[in-house]
Amino acid sequence: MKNCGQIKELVSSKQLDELTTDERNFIEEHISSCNECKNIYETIKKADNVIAKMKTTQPVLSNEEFLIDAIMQKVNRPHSSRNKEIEHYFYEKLLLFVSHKSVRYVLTTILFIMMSLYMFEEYSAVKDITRLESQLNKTAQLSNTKAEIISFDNVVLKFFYDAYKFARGNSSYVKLSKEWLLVNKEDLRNLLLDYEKLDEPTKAKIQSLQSELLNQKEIMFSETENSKMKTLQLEIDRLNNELQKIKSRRGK
Amino acid sequence: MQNQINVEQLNELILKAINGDAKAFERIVKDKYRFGYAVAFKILYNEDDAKDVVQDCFIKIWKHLNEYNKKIKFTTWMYKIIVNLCFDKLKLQKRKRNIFKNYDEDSDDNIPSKIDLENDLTNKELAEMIKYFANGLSEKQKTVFILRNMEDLSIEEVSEIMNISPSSVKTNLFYARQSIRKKIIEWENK
Repeated sequence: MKNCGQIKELVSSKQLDELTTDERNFIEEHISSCNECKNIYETIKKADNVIAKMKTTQPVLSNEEFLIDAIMQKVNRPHSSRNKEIEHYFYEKLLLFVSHKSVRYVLTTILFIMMSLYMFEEYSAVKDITRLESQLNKTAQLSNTKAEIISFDNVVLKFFYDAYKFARGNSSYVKLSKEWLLVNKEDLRNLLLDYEKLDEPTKAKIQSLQSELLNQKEIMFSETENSKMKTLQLEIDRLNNELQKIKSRRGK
Repeated sequence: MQNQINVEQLNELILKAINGDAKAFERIVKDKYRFGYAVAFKILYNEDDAKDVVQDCFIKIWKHLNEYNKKIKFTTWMYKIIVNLCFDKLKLQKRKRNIFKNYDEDSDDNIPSKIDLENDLTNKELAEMIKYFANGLSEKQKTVFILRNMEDLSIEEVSEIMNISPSSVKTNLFYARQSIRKKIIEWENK
């Protein structure tokens, strides 16, 4: 039917008693020949009557006297329990506030940031510790190497090697690196065995040089190696302290 | 049951209650709680929640009675408090539902039937449908519809209670009615 849409629009947007005479006539004329719209009109009419009836119908309230008693008990209650009431009210408001969607989002974000910061700090601490430990190991290794090299055994080795070369007439004085000495320790020992086989004048020549070379070594080690060792030791101590600090901070 | 109190008696009782007379306040409570409960129930559709709201409303009134402005009707002031408390309750329920939605999905579908419309079965069914459709409206439209159409309050009173302009009341009422009617038509056509 061509007017059905208009009828539906009219009855759905206006109270039936607010319809103008023209609108009412238009509806009545249409519904006399259209059953579908007649049903709709009747339902809306019935709905209006039901709503009107609902105005006068009050919902059933059970245990009315309990409700009044509960109200009056709160009105007459002592001050201390009133404080509890305020507390309860405060918590309810707080719950209402916290349960708000945007507040929940903000709190979740803050929690996430705090967790990220904590994890980042944890990660940095672990990274720091690993770095320091490897640095310490390296330093310790280096210091062990140096300590080994400047140990008495090596000093003697180096001395005899230098002396041996000198006695052999090799004019170019070979200054050996400490690393080289460490690696070629066994070769040097073999060289020392050769020394025993040398003739007496050569041995005497070597011995005369011995004191001079020893002095040179002492000067060299006391001035350079010892101070380097001290620096190394200080570095080890510093790294150890730093490591302890980080470990204790992480423990907290 | 005591007779309903008139405006002069009410003003006298309010004055006494402001001075701490709990008995006078009890008379006010006994006279007005049914109206408050009717509105609260129609908004919340839950007897216990409506009772809680009525209780909180009268406690609030007792605490703030000295702030009562005699220029507006006492019931209008009471409805205003009731409506605000109902909105707070609905918000809390909605948020709780959002948090626990997986556990509480069907609470909206089971609207309890407490309004007794005699024995007219068709009307009862229709009344249930109207209540159901009204419950699906926005808070504002629903409250305007309840206060104006079910409680028969004037546009001005509804405007005062809801803190909105009378024209806004009319607009909300128009959309509420239209929405309910459209749903009734859809339901009828099924």
